[in-house]
Amino acid sequence: MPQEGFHGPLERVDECCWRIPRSYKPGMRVDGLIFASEQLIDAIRNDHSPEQVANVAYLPGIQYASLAMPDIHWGYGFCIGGVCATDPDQGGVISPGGVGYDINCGVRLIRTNLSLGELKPHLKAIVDELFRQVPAGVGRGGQYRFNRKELRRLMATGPRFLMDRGLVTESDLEHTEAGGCLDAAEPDCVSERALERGADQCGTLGSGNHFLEVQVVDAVFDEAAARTMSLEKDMVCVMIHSGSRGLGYQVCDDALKQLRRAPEKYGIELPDRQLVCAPINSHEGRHYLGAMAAAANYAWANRQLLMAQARDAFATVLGRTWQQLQMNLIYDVAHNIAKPEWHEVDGQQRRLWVHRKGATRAFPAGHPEIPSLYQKIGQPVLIPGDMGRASWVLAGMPGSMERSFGTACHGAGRMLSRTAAAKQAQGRRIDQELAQRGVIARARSWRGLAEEQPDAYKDVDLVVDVVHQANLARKVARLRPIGVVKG
Amino acid sequence: MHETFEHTADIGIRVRAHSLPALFEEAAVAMFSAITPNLAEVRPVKELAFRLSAEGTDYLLLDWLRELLFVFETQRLTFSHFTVRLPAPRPGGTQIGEPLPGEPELAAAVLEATAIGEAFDPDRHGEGNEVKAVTYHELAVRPEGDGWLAEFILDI
Repeated sequence: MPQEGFHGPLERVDECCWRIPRSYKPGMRVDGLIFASEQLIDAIRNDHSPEQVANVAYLPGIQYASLAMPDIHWGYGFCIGGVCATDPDQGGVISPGGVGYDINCGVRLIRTNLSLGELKPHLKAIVDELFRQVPAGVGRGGQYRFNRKELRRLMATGPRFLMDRGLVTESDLEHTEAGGCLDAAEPDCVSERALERGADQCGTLGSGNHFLEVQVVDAVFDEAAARTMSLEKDMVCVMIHSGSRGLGYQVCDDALKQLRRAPEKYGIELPDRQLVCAPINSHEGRHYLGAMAAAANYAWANRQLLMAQARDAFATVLGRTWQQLQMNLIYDVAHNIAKPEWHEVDGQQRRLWVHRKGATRAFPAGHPEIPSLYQKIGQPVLIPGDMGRASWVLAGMPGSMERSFGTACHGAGRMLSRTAAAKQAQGRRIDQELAQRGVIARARSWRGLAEEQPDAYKDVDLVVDVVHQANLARKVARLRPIGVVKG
Repeated sequence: MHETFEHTADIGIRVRAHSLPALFEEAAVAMFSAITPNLAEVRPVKELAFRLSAEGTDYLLLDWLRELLFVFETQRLTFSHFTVRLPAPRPGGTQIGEPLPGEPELAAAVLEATAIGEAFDPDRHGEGNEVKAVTYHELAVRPEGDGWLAEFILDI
């Protein structure tokens, strides 16, 4: 286990950015840059994550800097909140650890035409129905089954595959990052073991920090952008946080095993085995990218099926169809992914592979990759907080292209370890405490709620303040949880 | 014996045992304790055999846990008792990473094991954490005093 905290240099760049100079470790190819306020940086110093920012700077072909968002915390290999862009033309690598086990873990936000007042009498019934309908928790499969052939097609096309079953609309696809489909997907690169693990898990929530929440718009900060997103104060929304389930975990696990010898083969020096990587332009690199993209498409289909079940639950309880309830998808973002994108480096447009490990794409207005509806306001950036306080909707800003390869934070960031959080919750009923805050919570296990209690997280408002101030994304609306379903 | 150590997002596990095979057995117990906390309730109904080889002892521990996790995920079996044998490494394999003290270089590490348990029943066995994977970050297997120590981090 490493020494407690970070003892290396952390130089202040400006109000919301700190530098670990390249001189800190001989293998660093670029500086490390951490976005954080004075208030957040002390906790970050006490964590191992700055060391991980420095370690990522070792990766061949890394451009500009190894970056971290203000929700940074200790991960494995990359820190959570880490961003790294590599250039394939400069020997740039792809690192499965820079995507994580939960490939395309992400968030989607669904609006409704219900106000808090209208929903309140039905809230308990809705949360119970969601809990009944949406499979969550350890080792639990779902109601959707796909044979091998169907699974391969689903991985090749993402949620579009569900069109025949009436479980997705064109509008849903339009409002999903990348249209819910990475073209680079190569289902044949996904192992039989991964298929086996993912066969009955598409449409399931999982456990850990994954959730399905009923939320209400608490405050609007940018009226025009909120209107474009069809959000208004007091509106009831649904937020879903999940990823590629066992299929994605196994794709990453397989790749890490396949790449064990790659650093030796390609002469890459690494300070942590979890950072194992291969050149993008290599057989190993291309194989992982094909499998990773297939898993990403599976994840989008998973969140689509979770949304379908949430729509069903609302319709069942309220006796109206989801279309009548106008439960439209506002947006779906990935926050564990690697994608090829155009960015300006040293005055030149270059096609880089951007790794986002617990970080959200935040493209500004006018970017060709965002839906036409959001062209004038910037891409919706969805930031789940904790289950007692708040989540946020932001919009991408030009600063993200200048400073963070088009990226903002992905959440509040954990502050307490799971063990410490569970210890702190001894003798307490977290569900009752949440009820006192006006949140109805249902979970499979006491421990699940204890580990995910609000106190385990940083205050998401402080994290979002940094992102807003650094001009990576601006505040649009704040959402408050009222119903929580967890594994 | 095993204990957890602090890790912000995931679960760090430290295991100690008098011998290397016992270390592997205890590591498996530790992982299943995280997934299905009431291990005492797991009845000896089903026995599965494993044979694995890896580039070194630390990778072998990782592969052993990866294999067990895969069985849990795909067959919904949970286990509470393990018997591990580590036969002498076959010559001709490739060592990756630091060779362990006393371990011949260029040797693959081999494991033969059985796991005893039954079908996962959340009501009896309890629902702990869904373990996504066993990570390589800070993975360590080393002698300590008269015995052995292992540390690994489970991604939650």
